[in-house]
Amino acid sequence: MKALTDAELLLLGLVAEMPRHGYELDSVIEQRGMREWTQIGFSSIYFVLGKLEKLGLILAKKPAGAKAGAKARKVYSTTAAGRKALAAQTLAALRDLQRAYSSVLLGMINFAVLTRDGALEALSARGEAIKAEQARLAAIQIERQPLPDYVEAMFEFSQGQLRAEAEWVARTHAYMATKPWLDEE
Amino acid sequence: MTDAEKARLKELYLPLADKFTLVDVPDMRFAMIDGRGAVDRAPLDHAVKWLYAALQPAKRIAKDRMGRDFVEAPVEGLWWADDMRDFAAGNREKMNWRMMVVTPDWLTPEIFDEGVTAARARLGDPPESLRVEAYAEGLCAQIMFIGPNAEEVPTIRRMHEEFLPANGLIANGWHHEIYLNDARRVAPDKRKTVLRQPVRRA
Repeated sequence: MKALTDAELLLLGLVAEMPRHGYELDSVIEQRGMREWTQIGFSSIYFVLGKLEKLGLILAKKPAGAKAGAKARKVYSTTAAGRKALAAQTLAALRDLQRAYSSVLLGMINFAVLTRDGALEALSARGEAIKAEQARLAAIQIERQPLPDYVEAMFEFSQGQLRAEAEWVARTHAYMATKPWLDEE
Repeated sequence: MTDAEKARLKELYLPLADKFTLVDVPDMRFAMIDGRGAVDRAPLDHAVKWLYAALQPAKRIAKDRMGRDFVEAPVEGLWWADDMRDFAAGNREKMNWRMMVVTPDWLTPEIFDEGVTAARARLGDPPESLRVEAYAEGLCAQIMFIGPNAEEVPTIRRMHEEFLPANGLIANGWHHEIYLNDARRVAPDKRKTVLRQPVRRA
């Protein structure tokens, strides 16, 4: 079967935890800050649910007496095919390494066009931005308590990447600051 | 973790679900917050959030020290009523509660205060009763309850009215629940809760 989009996989996972109302899904996504990890708009939740339903991965049950089309009040649950697809794609997400391109790489490709001062200033600013992001994540981690261990591990992943980038920025900044600059005016 | 340690954790936190068993619970220290009534879950949730937020630095140190042996501590709750009839009927809105998270032996007031200070910046002032204290239970009867917490009452009654008398035991302390699942992430019919009751021989 075709790979599900991030938003589809995320909603399928939430519905698999337990049957949920449409309106609940929106508040769970908000409470857990899931927009931190993936892109999903407020308006697209029902669009995505509709798609999952068409694919036969989830079931939408109308409450008795509800008007047709009252999507928010429908209760969504997974089908056997849905649980199978969820497990298979979650395994693939864990297993497969995807290349992500950081803006810093484009900055380095054209590094030679910069003056030393301009380049060093930009690298320092990146270092500060990394510190700010580390602090922001630490604050979110406190506000979202209690978190299951696998979500704590997500925070550790992000912090680890930021730590690695901060080290790289410091090392690169120190090197560029000390090396002879050929085109110095 | 040695096999003996694993077995001990299992004995304390994963009792059988199909019958009551006895366990000897060691004295432990907990971070705890007290409250009353549970009509609205908000104060309970706030207490739990505070406990885990305050224990963040302790957890970081524990992970570094223990490596693979580190296990997340579950939320535990003590429940008691001024009138035993409210307890027997499961009227949580008329009960007192204490939410607790177990802390390591080496937790110093300094490490705990560091967590409280960091959390205060995000969550405001902590609940007044937030503290770390020892709690002793000793001999306990317990069972694993699987299902929504609102449906625990018959099991608790069976423990008090059948298992304890049949084994010459008398309740000796507050009703204790250990919430092994996060209610926001696990379907009600799959939620696991250890129901524990300190006892003494009659």
